[in-house]
Amino acid sequence: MSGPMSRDDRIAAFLDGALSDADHATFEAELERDPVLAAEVERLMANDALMREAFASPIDQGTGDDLLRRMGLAPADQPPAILAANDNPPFWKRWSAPLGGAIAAALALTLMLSYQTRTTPGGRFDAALDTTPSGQIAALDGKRALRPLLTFRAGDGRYCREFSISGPSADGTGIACRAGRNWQVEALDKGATELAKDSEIALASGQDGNGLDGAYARLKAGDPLGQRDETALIAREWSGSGE
Amino acid sequence: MEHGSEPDEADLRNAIVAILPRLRRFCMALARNMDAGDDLCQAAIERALSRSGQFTPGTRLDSWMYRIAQNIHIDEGRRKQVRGIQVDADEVAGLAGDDGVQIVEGRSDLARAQQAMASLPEEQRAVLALVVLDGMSYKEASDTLGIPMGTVMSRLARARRAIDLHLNTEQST
Repeated sequence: MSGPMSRDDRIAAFLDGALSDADHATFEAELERDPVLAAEVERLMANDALMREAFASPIDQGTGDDLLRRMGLAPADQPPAILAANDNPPFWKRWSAPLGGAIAAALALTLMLSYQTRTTPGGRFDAALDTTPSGQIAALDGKRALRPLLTFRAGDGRYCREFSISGPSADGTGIACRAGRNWQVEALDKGATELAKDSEIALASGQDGNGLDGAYARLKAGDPLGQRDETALIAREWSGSGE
Repeated sequence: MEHGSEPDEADLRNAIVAILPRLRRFCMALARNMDAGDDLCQAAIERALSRSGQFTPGTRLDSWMYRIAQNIHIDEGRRKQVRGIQVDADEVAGLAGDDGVQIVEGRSDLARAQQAMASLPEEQRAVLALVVLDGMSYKEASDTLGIPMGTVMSRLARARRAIDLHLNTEQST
């Protein structure tokens, strides 16, 4: 502390342990001499203790699963470890993973399937992407849940969302872009492909077999939208999305 | 897109989990209501994860998260002002939490303390939350809030006076 301090500042600095050793000793000597000052300091210390107790509930509650889920931090909501970051990646590479030949073949197979979004759980898939803010979880059916991770605009003007899907047997991530009134899946990673096999979510034409990395590059992805822009888009039902 | 030394997403999430209780407490103090505090906390986490490239590894994550939460809170406050929404300090009743456990039930001293915090001006609440609740030094609070240390001290002194007055007044009634 430099320069002269007011009486209140000195008391506060004493309470907060911000006085130098010499100033602390001087202040303690004052406290012994001045019962009024001592009583005031004691009262303020009690106030501080009461404040800490009054705001202790978040500390006491810790970090349970329910809380983490509510905060978008649940372990189950995170992408699989194989999707961990590379060195110095663009944002979408954080989620990417190299796809082996078998997975690429699986993706190629799903090319043959139509993207039936209007039947369960496909319809819920569209609705979830239409209405769920990034970070929040929407149930697709009794077994699967979808969580949008981020929203970005593709080079062709469409709005796209990266999402994670969790199910009983796998977790995965994918990218879908809004086309017309539906969401067209552009890429799925291994886990999401597994989940798609058991449902009616399938890749649309235009996808590639290079995983999310390839899709981001092909889509010429812009930076993720901020929360405010995304909220506005959801509110106006994705109009103005360049469709 | 500039990504530079962007931290690993999973690492960032884990680091946020580690400070989550403190972040929630800071948000609770800012928002004056536990439910609103959790909404603020969630928004701050979402924004942090979407802008992870803006976090500089090696710097304090807690300070970064607190700044994000405060910025969101200030923006929200401005929106409410524009819309003419009045925030009643009695909203503090919600501080008891949303888990069905009314932690302040029958504990009027804690309720009074929460109301005292809620009655403070915005900037004093933030300083008090960082120094008194979180145990930050004046320098750390100064760096977190981007204000001079002298301002931290004067706001803190005013906050303590106001809280003392609030508690004494309440106790004498």
